[in-house]
Amino acid sequence: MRKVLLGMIAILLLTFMTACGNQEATKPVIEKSDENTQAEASEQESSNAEEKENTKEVAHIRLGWANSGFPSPFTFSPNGPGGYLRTTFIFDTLTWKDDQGMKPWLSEKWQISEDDRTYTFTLRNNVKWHDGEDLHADDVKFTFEYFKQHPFGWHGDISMIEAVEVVNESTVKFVLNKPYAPFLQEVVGIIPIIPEHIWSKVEDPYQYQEKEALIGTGPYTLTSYEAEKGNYLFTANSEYFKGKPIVNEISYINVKDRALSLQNGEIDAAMSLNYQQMLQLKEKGFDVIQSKPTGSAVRFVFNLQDDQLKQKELRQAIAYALDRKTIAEKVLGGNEMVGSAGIIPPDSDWYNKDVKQYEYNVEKANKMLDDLGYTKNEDGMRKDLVLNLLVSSNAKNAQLAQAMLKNVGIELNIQQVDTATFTSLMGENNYDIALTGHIGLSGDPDFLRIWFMGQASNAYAARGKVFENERFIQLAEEQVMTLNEEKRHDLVNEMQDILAEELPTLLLYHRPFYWLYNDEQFAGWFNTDGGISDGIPLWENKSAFLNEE
Amino acid sequence: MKNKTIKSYLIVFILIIILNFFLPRILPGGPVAFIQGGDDQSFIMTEEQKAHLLSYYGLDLPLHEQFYQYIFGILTGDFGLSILYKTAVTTLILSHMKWTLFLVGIASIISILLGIILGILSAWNKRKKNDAPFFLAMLMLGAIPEFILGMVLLILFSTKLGWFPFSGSTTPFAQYGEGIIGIIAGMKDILHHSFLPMMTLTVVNISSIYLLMRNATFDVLKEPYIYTAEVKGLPLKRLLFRHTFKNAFLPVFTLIMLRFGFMLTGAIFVETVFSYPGIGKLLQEAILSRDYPLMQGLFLIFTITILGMNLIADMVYPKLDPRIRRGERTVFE
Repeated sequence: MRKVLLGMIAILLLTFMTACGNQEATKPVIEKSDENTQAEASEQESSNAEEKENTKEVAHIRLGWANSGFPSPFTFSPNGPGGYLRTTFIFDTLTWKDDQGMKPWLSEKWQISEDDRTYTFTLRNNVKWHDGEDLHADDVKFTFEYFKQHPFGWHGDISMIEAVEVVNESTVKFVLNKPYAPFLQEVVGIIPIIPEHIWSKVEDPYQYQEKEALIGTGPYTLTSYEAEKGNYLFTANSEYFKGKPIVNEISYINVKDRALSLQNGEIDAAMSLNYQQMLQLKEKGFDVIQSKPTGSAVRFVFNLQDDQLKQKELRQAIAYALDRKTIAEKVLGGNEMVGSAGIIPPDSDWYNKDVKQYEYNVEKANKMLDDLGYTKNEDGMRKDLVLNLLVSSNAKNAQLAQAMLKNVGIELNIQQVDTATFTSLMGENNYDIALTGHIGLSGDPDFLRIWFMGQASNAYAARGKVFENERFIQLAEEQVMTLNEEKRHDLVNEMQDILAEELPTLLLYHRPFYWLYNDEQFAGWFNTDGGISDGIPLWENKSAFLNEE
Repeated sequence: MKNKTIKSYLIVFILIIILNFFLPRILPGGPVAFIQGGDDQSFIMTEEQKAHLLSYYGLDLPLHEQFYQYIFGILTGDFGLSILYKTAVTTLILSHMKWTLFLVGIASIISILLGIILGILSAWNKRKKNDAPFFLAMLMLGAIPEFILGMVLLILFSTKLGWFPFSGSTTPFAQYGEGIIGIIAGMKDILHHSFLPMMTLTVVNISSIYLLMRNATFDVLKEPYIYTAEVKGLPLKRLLFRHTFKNAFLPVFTLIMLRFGFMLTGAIFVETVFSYPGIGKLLQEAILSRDYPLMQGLFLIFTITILGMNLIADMVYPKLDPRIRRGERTVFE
């Protein structure tokens, strides 16, 4: 007994000792970056001519994201964009985007046929897989055929591709069954090209987690994945066809709160959604980039099958009754941008500046509701107007909206559920209004079609319950086949007009993201024009880590 | 008698296996609903992708066929593929299990030892009527939910003071070096990361053992043989830790066995608060994402552990208490 006790005390003491010596434990990583800044300093002294900070070599950058599984194109988790993002470090696509918009990547150039249905890509000829093999046109053809059999678990609908033909070793031709305007950016710009010599032997790619599953052409290779902890370590590919990346190692650490971990020095850069938090960290010396265009929004989805909510005037009255500026301010802490009734954010190239907007106007809301025949009782409530609001994680918005709608006599019951329940209730059309956040509005406007045409099996869409507006459907189908930008702008503008008038959904506000970093360490971050993977505002663009002309 | 016990265990086990299959499926929404994302998601799935997912995981099969596959899987030791992690459930559970066993194992041992010692001392002092403040303090400690205590410790020691890391079980990608120095550095790192969650678990678990031990000891202290021993002038330490402990420990033993049984599940909240990669955190993720195979695998592990510990307690108890062995008393009084 006594021995056990002594042992326990010894363990306790040992633990205390380790607690005090905690700096040592985290040293390996920190030391590296220290060495690195010293190296940088001496490098700068020796070559003052190198003004451009992007060309500085950086030994290690630590970033934060949740675990998203083994990062092969078939096994990453689609729960948040982190999974896809990390595969883009290892795999490349035919096109890619940077701060200037779309650019050639694995392909050098392309031609589009007269009828907009055939794309002929010329591949770069110096591209090698991580195992030393050369990239061929065959790999491209194989990739798209393989993904037809084994669907990709992310964006990148490839159903419009009729055939992929190999013209010669470095030329590949895509034939589409109809013109598809976002093809270059959102199809061949998203689908990762995989090596035929590996995957042709793999029967079930969703269970294939060997080392070979991570052979790509990308600027990084995965050095370590701590599966149960969700940490990833990437190392620069020195043979990369665009030159060795300037950031030698990138680690992703599964931290709980990125902003807090940034402050604590556990990671080097992080995203924040809160304006106040951003200001606080800015004061502490971090540099900030604000996402532009604002690719994220919080919105009400109205159930158009509901007997009451199918009245357009009721939806409009709700829009007038909500002080959306205050909701945004209370939730985001400032720098608010009231939701555009036409959905596309005001700072996007696709925004229609003449689109109808709904200002905060209680009087107007009350009058519209009176006109609809919802009379107020002596308590000031309209007893026939009791609506349910389905919420998953944006509860604070719901409470603010509840109070505002009470003001015009609408009783709003908040029903809070978890993600899976939320989706299944929407799928069963078992809701009045749903409150949801959405990321991915900063890119191609085709998402307006996907949201409302009931083709996407997704909570944001009307879930098979098509927004039955003939003109809208016609426009939506036409714009996706229109490659002429000017013409497409006109079509998308009209779509926004219809959405603003009909309000199948009401955007509460657009939500800017802030990227916080230390520019002494690495200053190459930028806003990706058009967003990564269909309009998602992310800063971890592999292009930022490359030293391109 | 023994056969009867084992038979009743078997019946419970079979019932639980059946429940295991249906409970996850009673939750609203399925794994694909989770992947489709309710809120703040950025992934738009097409109907083809959805259909493919459903058929890949066999979720489009009629329920009885899914059930048959589940039973067949259990019999062959194959729990299937986790939908969230796309990894074999067995591999996932084993890799997370070591962290939970480490965390909860040490926390249990400390809390049991401290609970017993404090309980005995407290009972002795109660006889002298001066353990009230201590007793109250322990009662209060026992009433604190573990996640609140965990949160307080996290905010105080990690956020404010920066003594301990926020999350994880080791420094990411740490290289500890070779030989004995490397091993010590590794141990230090692991203890440093586990200190706060271990403290939390220890503190919340101490009071139930303490309370039971205190009461049992107090009862034993009233026995005439203790009075005799005292009068004989036996040293206090010997009196308490030999003569009293042996008899007072019996009810505590059952509690300890139960505690070990619940060891795996007990850490769910603590692992979640500290983002500790044990199976408690895994279960939380499995439930949120409706990962049926992973949930089934975890529930089964929990079931086996809890039932197993109970069975051991049932079998060892008679050996500890000669009265039961001789048939003067039964376990289930």
